[in-house]
Amino acid sequence: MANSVLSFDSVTKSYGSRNAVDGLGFEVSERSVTGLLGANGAGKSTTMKLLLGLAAPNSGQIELFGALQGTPAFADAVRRTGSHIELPALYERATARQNIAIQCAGFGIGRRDPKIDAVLETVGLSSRSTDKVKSFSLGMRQRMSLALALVHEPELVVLDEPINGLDPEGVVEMRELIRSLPARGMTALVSSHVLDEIERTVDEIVIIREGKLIAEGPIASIITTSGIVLRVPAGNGDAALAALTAAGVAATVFENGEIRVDTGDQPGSVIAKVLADAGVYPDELRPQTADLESVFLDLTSTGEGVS
Amino acid sequence: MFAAELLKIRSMPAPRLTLIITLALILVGAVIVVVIAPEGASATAYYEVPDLIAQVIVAIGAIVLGAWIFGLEFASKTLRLAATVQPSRARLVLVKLGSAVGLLLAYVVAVVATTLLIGAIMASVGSVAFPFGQQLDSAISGGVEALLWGVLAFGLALLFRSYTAGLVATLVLALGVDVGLQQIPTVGKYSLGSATSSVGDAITGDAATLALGVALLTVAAWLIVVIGAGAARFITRDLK
Repeated sequence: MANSVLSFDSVTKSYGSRNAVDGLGFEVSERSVTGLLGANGAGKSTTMKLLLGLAAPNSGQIELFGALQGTPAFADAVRRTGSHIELPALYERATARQNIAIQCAGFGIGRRDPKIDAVLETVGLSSRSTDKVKSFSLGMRQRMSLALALVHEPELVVLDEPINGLDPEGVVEMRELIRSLPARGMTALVSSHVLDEIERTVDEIVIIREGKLIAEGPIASIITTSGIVLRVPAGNGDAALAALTAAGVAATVFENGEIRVDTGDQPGSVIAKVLADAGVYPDELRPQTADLESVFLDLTSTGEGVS
Repeated sequence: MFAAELLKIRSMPAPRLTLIITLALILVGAVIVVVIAPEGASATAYYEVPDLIAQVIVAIGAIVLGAWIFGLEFASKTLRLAATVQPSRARLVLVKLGSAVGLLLAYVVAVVATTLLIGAIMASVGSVAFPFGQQLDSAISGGVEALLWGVLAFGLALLFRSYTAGLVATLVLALGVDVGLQQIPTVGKYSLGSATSSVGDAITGDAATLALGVALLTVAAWLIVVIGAGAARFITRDLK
């Protein structure tokens, strides 16, 4: 993995007797967009709160920009992040510009700094900059929250459900904005329930279930780890299935003539050899691709690990 | 961080409104005195009544502002944001405390100055002499007591993690619990109300229940206990 800006190592966080995060370990590489996926209650928000120092782990190590959680350096590392966790938190009776100016002041950025206008422009709120936030819709609040996360040009942007409340145009803009972050020297960790959107937005994903790591890695490898798909000549289906079963490989024949093979740890070439030994030569052999949604549902329902 | 707190104070309506309402009430009180002052009323009532009104209202205003400094973050759920801008929670508490003291000081100075001005005008209307030095001491005394209650409200809002709860708890303590405590023989004089009154009395030169040093230590002990408990809770617990 490229330089890691964030790593979790066997991190556990309990609330009462329930482990919200349970022995979680993963890394986020520099200048990547990483998706943090999990069902409701899987521990996504808790994970984000832990990395921002808003909650303390019961055990394990969190390292942010090389600083270990619990050390004085960790506070400095947190200041190198920008975040939007759960619902947008804004000063309702202040204007959009005032909200951003307050955030900027915390980072030593003056209230007339051009960064304020630039970030308002980026999130599409320039025309509403002097309006009080209490008049904003949920989508506008989401944009405001993103502006607060970005205005001080953090090195790591942590976004929890950033497209909640956005209209379709806003979703596309948000996707493009998040995709542009690595080119601006930033790293992003994004959680979302909208898996189709995550699939289009992120480079790497971390899937968690009940606070445990289920899968981690580049999105392309996770989506194609389900196995391979074969198409064999008509009449050879039973022979192929028998050969694969005899070799201890789980396979399923579908009505369209396709055979889906769970390759497990074995490379596709081994499957091809098993078939060739049985005198079956596939017309087609390709990785079984799936969309993120089906992989996610499969992984989170079975709990099978992928590395 | 102080710049951010200053900007919050300038951007939000609560501090301005509190000051405006305070000054308006003092002015209204003064006008009422002129309108209803009975024949033969004490000449000093022209400036003493506004001063008395100011002392009550400035205390309530200070409690509102003291609770507001942290209460704002709890009410708008912006504490997580503030805590990522200043991840050292202890430092965040200190910055907030400093901001609270600064805001309360500015508020009290504005009210004291206005009260003196109104008092001088009232004295002129009533054609009586205005004892500036005496009224200044009285206004400062009331202002200092108000400031101390405001700092307590800051601590209680932090402790209860709520603006409303901090406000209500301070008022209950000031108007109920403290009054009850003062009735207890021997230890009653160490209540916060008694101690702050003693500090105020030291400023005006009136006879005080506690010596100034003891009164200051007592006030400090009360504030350290409340703010310390609030800070300990804030620093050690997760932010939801």
